Amino acid sequence: MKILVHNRERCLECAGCVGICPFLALDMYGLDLQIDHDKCTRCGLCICACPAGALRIEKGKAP
Amino acid sequence: MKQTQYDVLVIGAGPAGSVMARDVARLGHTVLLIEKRARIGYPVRCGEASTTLDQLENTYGPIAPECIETVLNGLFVYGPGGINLDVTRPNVGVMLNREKFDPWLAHLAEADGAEVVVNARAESVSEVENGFRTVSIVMPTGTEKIKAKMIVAADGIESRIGRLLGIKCLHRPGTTCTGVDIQVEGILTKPDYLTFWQGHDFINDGYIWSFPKVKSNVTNFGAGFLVSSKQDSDIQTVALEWLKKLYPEAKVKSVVGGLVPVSGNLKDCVRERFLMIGDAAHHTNPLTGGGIASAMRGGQIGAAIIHEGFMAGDLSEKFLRRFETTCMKRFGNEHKKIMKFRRFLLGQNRPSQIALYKLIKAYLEGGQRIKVFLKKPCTTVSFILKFLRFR
Repeated sequence: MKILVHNRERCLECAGCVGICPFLALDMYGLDLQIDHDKCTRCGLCICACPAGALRIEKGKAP
Repeated sequence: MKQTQYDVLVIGAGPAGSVMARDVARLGHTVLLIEKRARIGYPVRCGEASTTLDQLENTYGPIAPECIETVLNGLFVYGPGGINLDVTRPNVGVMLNREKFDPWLAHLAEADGAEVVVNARAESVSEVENGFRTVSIVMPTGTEKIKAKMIVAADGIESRIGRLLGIKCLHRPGTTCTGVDIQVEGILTKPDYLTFWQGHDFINDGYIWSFPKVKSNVTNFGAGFLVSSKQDSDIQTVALEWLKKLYPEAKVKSVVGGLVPVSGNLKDCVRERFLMIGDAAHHTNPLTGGGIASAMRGGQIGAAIIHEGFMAGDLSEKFLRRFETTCMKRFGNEHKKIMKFRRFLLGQNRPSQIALYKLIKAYLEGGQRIKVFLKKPCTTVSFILKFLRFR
């Protein structure tokens, strides 16, 4: 299964991904990006919007 | 929180939220201003250039000198096809230091009676019950429920609160910019000018900027493009590449980033006992992406209308709609025109874009008088017609 993965080292903490996610799947507290994997459709919009390239879709399992 | 009930609860302590909180407190209402971050104004998500000091001060009052980095006297644009624009205009704007400016604004709100709480995140807002909305606020110490007669969402680009209440305030690709601001040691470009690079091949959908912060001896070098799926690499990589190309010696101090709404004012941004301001309500200039001044103006307009509402005992959706119309009149209509110009400029093919730049250059060099356009009547008329027909 593919899931959205957040790279904290690259992240600039701007929370832009939260604002652009059409499914309200993201929320951010400090450097903690909360990803609701049930709501996330892996549309990739947040990846295009992220100024730092801190988001990726990778193979993995939702926690 | 000192109380469990307030007249007004403002979510987000940026320029919009702090100005709103201060004005409402001054008018004699109890205000709670919450900020989810531990430190107000940090991390900065901004290029920090703003309109003229006069305009800021006329709407708001004196700005503390330590918040102002540079007084700007002009703009320089490196345009397409080697056509560069040099606009000399004394006092055209200021460079702010947002790390100082935002806490200063919040502090003023506090001094005027607003209660300011950091590390407090609004999780949800309830429907109206008996004239109150309840907000659950998550803090390191636990969750608290606070009742307020009026909720103001100034939660910036996230705009979660508005969306939770079903307002269509989503930031969409095509009308949102993604940007990165690299703080570089020393001053790279003219110290009292804003410098832009626009219209070159792969920076057509946005611009690269170099803004001097003279007092701190730092340059904000950044890039902002419209969000699209066409990009092959993120904006930070692109901006760093450009920095290396233009100023190979530059020393990077830090990098900040963020998204900027460039869609023009949100038409629907109120509900009963609820209102949105600042970036959350898309109150930004759609050409430059600048939003500090309009956020502050929006905060002031909102505060005045909330006060009127309290006096009239009416905070219904219908009453609060006048906030939208007032914002539209005060800056929204202007933003609409600016947006049309942006779409027009980006929609032109390269030869046409260069011709337009040449025309603007002639205007600027001819002493910025309309008369200059008469020297190039054909180009002028063709552009006017094209612009009028442009939808």
